[in-house]
Amino acid sequence: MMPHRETDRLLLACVFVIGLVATAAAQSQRQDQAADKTPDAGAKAVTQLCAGVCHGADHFGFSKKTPDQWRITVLQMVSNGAQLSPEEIDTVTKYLAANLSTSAPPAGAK
Amino acid sequence: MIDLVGAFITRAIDRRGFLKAMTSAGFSLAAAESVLSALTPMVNAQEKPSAKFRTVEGTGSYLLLQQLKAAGVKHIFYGNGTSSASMLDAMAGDNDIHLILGPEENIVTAMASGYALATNRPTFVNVAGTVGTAHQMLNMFNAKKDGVPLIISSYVATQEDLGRDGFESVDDLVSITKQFTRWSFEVEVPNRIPETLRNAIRISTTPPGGPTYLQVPTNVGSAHAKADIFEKEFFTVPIAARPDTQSIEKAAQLLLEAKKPFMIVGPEVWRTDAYDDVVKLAELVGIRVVQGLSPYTDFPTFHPLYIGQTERALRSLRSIGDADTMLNLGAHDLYEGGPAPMIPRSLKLIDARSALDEVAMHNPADIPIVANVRETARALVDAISQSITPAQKQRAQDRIAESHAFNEKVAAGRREVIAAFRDNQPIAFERIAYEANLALEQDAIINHEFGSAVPRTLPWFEFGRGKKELCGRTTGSGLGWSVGASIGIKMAKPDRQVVCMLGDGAFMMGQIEALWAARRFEAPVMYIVFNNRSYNDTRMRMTSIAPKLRDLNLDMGSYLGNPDVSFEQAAKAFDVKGATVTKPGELADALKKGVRELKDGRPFVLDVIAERVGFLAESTWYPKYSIADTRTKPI
Repeated sequence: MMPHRETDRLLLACVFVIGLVATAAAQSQRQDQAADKTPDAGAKAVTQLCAGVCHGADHFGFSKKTPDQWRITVLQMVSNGAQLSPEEIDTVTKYLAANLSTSAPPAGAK
Repeated sequence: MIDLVGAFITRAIDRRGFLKAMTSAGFSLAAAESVLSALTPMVNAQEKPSAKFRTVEGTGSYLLLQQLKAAGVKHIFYGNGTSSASMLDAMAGDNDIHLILGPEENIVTAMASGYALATNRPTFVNVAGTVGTAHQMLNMFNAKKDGVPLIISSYVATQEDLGRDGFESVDDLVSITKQFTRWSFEVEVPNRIPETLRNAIRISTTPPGGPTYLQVPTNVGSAHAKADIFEKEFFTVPIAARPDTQSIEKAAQLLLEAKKPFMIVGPEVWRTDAYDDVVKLAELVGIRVVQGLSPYTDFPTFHPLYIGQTERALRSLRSIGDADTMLNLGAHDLYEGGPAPMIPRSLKLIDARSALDEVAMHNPADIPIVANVRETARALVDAISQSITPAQKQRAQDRIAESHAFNEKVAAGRREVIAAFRDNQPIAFERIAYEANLALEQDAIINHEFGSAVPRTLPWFEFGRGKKELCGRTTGSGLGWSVGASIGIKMAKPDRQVVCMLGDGAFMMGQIEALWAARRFEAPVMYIVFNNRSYNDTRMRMTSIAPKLRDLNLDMGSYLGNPDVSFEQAAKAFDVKGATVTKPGELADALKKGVRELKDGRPFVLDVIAERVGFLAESTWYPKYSIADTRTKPI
């Protein structure tokens, strides 16, 4: 019997949504805390970037990348629907590269 | 002269033809017109009002066929089975209705759904009994979500044999289909077949629409009976209801006073032909427009007021983050939010739809309106036009300019993306979509089966009246729809180029054999396969929410390589030509080749080796299990 992929997808999407909502309050607090410690323009752009894409701000903490790699990541997020101008792409890239480069510990490290 | 008069009276020639013939014969125009005036009452006397019904005698299946034809149905989409013999028998020699055979019931239901989606006309599918119905249930589900006018019938075991756990039989098939249909019913006597069919058509074509299902025991299909056959105007219910005047006045006032309104549009805009009125309304108020969940293009995507699409939640749309008023015109409710309100409580909501049981379904509305969506849009335009002040007109213009400026920035951001990804190999989805937009006809119809790839592909096309239009994806999202549906869409729109875009994972969801039907029926559809050897969507989502998968870098179930499927080769098995593209520079020529094949009246499969993106995109690992290795001898 074929696995019910679409049922799995729907179920996981629901889990994903519930997970997002459950962590939304915590994320909001973390984002506020993050905003306190980072340049305003960069933090705001990150928040906006994350606002509608598939994950929350703390998802970035899973990765450490070079500046070039972060630029590609940000461009992929724009392609995935994040509504950023070229200037904002630069701002977000610099913010992520400054805080989550391969030589720096990840933000919000566990 | 006598022959000429006879030809005019029997409508073999029209007025112009009569006058031309008379003047050619040497009569003056005045004389010819004088004769024509004398003949006109005789012509009118030949035309009798059409009868409301006629009484017909034959097998149950013959009665079915007569009622289908009276309903304007021209095709029967058919999944083969012996139990349908009486229906095919009734069709033999009848050239007014065509049999469209699909190789499998789910595929033929997709074909019918595509046709119904593109025409919004009642479309009939017949499948064989229990197993045929079981096969088709995915696309029955999709059809229900789409609200398409699909009437499904199946011939099941004879009444004497039902309940005996017999060949391909269950006790109660109708119960199984109830969740996926608007109405499911078993017809127990042949003379009730036309009446039941009329009811099925009526329900299927009345908002919210959706499939209906009739189970017909084979002995009922074969038995003789007499029944009345009605013409369609006596049992189809056009919904042209106008909105309540007071609600319109309140809504108009709310929109004019709103600081930051936006509108979300959905399939009822297309279905009620409200497109032009919605554009007019948007421009009058300067209201930003969001495309909601819909298989159609309900608002032009190149318009300055268009700001994006969403089916789940509003949070991804930056420019309406501080909106205060929302107008829903014919769109499904947004559905993502969990325990939080899907529509923020701070928004005032005007909810306008055609279906009574959908307005304010999940979100309490400040102004609920149940009426034909086009009538609502027109009434709002009229009401607003009468009371809009010069200052409000100026504000509308300012909003249009502001939205345009924001869209330009977003477009510039997207141009950065295409510049950065242009020469990626494997090929970026963005590049494929970009090249396809250039190669295809300006008014091509695009069908697709993308999920999270939508923002990476569709924004590279301009959708709107006179330009490309969407017909799909199914709002049911069940994969296994678009390949067959594209055939139905092409049947409905033979003079528009039809192109289907889908991933390799979707193509392998029981759809490859739909190419048989594309070839058999000479359906010139281009299938562009974004072949990244992965269920990219699920990998990205799962690694986001499953911590062990992420920590161990395991893509447990999304990698589709090994074997590396060639869709060009698969298409060859069905005598469908194709091409495989591995380099971005090859795209333009391959697309041109496909367009030529379409012009010659044949389908085409373009297999594009595309990139995977997201976490673990580079992984080719999968949990190995070899059945051969479990053998104890080489057999």
